[in-house]
Amino acid sequence: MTGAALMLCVVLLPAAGAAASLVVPERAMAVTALLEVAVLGVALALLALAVQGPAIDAFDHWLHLDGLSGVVLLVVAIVSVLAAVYSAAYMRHELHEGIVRGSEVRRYFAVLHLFVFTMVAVTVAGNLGLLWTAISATTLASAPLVHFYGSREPLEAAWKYLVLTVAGSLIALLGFLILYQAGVGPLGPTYNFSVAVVAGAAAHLSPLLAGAAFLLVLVGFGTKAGLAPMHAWLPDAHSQAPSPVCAMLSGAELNCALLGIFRVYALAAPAAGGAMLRTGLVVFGVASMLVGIVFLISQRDFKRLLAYSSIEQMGLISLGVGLGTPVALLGALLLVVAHGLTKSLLFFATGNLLLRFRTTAIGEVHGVIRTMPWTAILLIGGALAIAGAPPFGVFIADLSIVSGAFAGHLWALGALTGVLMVTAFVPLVLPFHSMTFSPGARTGGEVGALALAPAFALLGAVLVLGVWVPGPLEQLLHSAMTVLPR
Amino acid sequence: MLAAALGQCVAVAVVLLMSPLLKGTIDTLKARVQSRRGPSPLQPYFDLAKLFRKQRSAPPDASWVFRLAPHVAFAAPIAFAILIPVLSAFPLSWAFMADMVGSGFVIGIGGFFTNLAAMDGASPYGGLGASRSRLVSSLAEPTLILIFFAVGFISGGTVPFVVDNVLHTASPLITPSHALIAAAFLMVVLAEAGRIPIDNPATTQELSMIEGSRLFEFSGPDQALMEWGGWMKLFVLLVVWLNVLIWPQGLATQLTVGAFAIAIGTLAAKMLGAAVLIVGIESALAKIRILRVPEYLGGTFVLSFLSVVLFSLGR
Amino acid sequence: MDLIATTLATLVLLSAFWLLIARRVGATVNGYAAQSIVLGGLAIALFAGSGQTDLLALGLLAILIKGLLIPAVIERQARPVYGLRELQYQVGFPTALLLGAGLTLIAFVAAGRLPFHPGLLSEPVLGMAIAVTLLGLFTTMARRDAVVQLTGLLAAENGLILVGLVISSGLGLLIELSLFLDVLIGVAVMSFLITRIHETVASTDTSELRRLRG
Repeated sequence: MTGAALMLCVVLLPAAGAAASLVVPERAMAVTALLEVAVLGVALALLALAVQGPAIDAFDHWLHLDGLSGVVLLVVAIVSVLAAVYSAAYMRHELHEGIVRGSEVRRYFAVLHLFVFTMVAVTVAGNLGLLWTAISATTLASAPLVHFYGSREPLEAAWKYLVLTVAGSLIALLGFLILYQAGVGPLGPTYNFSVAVVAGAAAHLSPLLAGAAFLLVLVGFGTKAGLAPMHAWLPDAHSQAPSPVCAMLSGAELNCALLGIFRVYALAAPAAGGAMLRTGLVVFGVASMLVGIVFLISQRDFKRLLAYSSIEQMGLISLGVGLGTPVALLGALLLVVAHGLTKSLLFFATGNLLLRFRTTAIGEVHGVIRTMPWTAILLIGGALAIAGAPPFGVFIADLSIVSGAFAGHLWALGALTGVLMVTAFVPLVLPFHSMTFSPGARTGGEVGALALAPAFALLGAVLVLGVWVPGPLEQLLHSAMTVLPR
Repeated sequence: MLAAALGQCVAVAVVLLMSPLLKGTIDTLKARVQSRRGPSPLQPYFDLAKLFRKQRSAPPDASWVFRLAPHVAFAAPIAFAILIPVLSAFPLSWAFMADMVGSGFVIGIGGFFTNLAAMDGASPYGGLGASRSRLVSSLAEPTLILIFFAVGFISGGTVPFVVDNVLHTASPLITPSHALIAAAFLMVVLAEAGRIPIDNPATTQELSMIEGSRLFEFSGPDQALMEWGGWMKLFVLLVVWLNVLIWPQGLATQLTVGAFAIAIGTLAAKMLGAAVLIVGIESALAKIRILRVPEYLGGTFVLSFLSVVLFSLGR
Repeated sequence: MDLIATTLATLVLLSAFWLLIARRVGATVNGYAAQSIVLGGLAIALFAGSGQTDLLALGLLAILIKGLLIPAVIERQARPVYGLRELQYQVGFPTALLLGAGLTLIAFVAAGRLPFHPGLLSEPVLGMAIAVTLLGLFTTMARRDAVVQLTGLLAAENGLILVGLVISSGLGLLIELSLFLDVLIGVAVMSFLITRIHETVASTDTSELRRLRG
């Protein structure tokens, strides 16, 4: 019963945040970020409950939380809290510079909380129709944030983002409808279309329909997760939004789309047979890694660089889940956490650059180490972390996925993955190195302590993940592994 | 045998004699819709009589093609009339000479000679009209082929009489695929017969003409044959639409005078309905630009394609 | 009963083709409104046949929200571009028609091959429903006008409602309501952006927006 109450609470808190940002005075808008801290607190309590026992299922299966959605909830909660705190610093600076108006900041925070609301709803949705609605609602809630600056490029990015991901969501909806039909055989024409009920009959679903449903959801939500070749919108949206929003889009929202894919994967696999479904995940995974890396090379815009890196990492996660060996699964789940945190860290750090230099061109940023030494540490640390250097969390996750491939005797695939990850290292690290250490004019300084604190918290977290996975997190990851098919 | 041949002759005579009336009726009705008094429905007969009395003239460089063309254009719809169920639901003597594709060829040969003659006259308008009418016909071709397929699917045969008999007994009579094919065929008929929205038969602007500019160089009896041939073409195509695709009821089922009389009466009534429909279409729509013709005929293609898909995969 | 349903579904499919080729913004939006009203009529006809009240609710909602409200919203936002110049095709007209015909074929084959348990409606309607979905998505991809792109997405969603009518009439009213809410919010957000696009490039042609590359 506590579980049910906590789940309701964790969903409603961000909604309350949205309501609060409509009444709080414009100057004190940052206060609403505190509500997100409460979200994190409740989420942690909920996860503590979830790792102890079986999945929490409440309100006639409407809400559901197991290890898999727990991992995503953890990332969403952490990234949202820090993004909200960072937004306070970021928007204060923008207000101070006269780039945005107070009313725009109010709208920004209201929509930001709504965005968090939709993402949290994705993680606790138990009814599959609700799950689809929540995932497609994340698009609708975040598009106004992408368009926040209102000029021509953000407009283009927001429109592309909306059209492509809504189209993807509709394809996924076809998949969900077919999944419903797959359950009509064992469950009768009218049944509760929820994770718990369908999972109970998963072995008896119609194999052909379950397979078709998974492929449609993979393509549909794959569009939303930025899997190649449906990724065209991602570099635009993730580079034009304000930096805190970019962190949420890359670090949290992509994982919500992946959760939708993996959920249907887990439900469809027992009936449809794992082999075909796995091939789908592996093919899209490898394609995304290739596309991401090709565009990383010679990228001139640091936010787009990070966006393409997200495509690559999403590919790697999907590949890891598709491999299906225990080590690879653990690696993929760890990568969900590690990538979410690291990518947010980088967007916060480059957000500071953006506020100071007013450009996203790598070539126009010089000598960060002298003017903004703390940000420089974040940039270099974050770049090394996302490129997969030890001792950061992404390294452990990457290593697990590669060794998972070898453990499954997929030698070529493992070798290819390893080579791709090594290839990505230089194009990822070099731009940050040149921005940090190149000689250049000595202008400005740090943006402020509040703009640094979230990123440093994340840097500490990914460093810890690289050397030691805390006990409760390990429990959570293992509980998530039991959900996914092997 | 003799009776069947006689029946065939009656069918041909009906086509010959009723087609000017159809044209006259359409013109009269259209004038009424436009609040004009308009010509009498019998006016085309007077026109023909006048033209046949006039002198024949031809461009000095015109060859034998120019002299032959009016006769072919006149004969083709008559030959076509033999192949289709104009009055009788059962096949008459020569009905099995050709199936729908074959009858398509028969009606096509008339247009082919008209085009040759239009170019033979060496008038620039003739060439323009010939090339435009080729554009329309060649774009209508894919649709027609698909319609033949669809009808073949639905009825299991392509001879018009067989199709007719199957549709006669099919139930339910109107299914979506049937309705789509009927709509597509009507659109193609309008295009082929040079009606709005593809061509305006009443226009006097040479540059926008298709059908009219092909006939510029003909005069006297030649012009009469050409015009009459065109009216018959519209008539027989509408007969196919009405008797084969829409509503076969009312056709004679045995070879008696009474049955044929009833069939003639029903056909006249159906034709009146078709005339009203055409007047409605022509009053509601404007002629579309020549560059839009591919889109119009593309639409007919989609309709007939959907019909085939619905029929063959939909059950 | 089945005949009425098949006929109405055929009309929905034809309107999807209309959206693919319509030349003017106004014609597109009106086509969508007509499609939604026919769809609502289909749901109400099914209610008349089966007596399931949620079908009645769905039909009325479809007519009111999709047939009247949403077209009115779009019309208000896109008023300046209504019926102005003719829209350009990104994919040529014959190519678009042929691809559309191919998608229809695929939809029918898929509906015929997959082992569905038909509920109130027959299998051809399922083929048409999937075809409407694919055609709507194709319209969005093949056209560059923002209003037409939005309409294409909405038409695809109509197709999915039809799929839902065929294969999962027991999905529940609450889910359908949340879907409607989703659509409404989506239309609100997108038509806001359409207004902004119009302010920015003085038309709703999104091919004007192509600065983001690489």
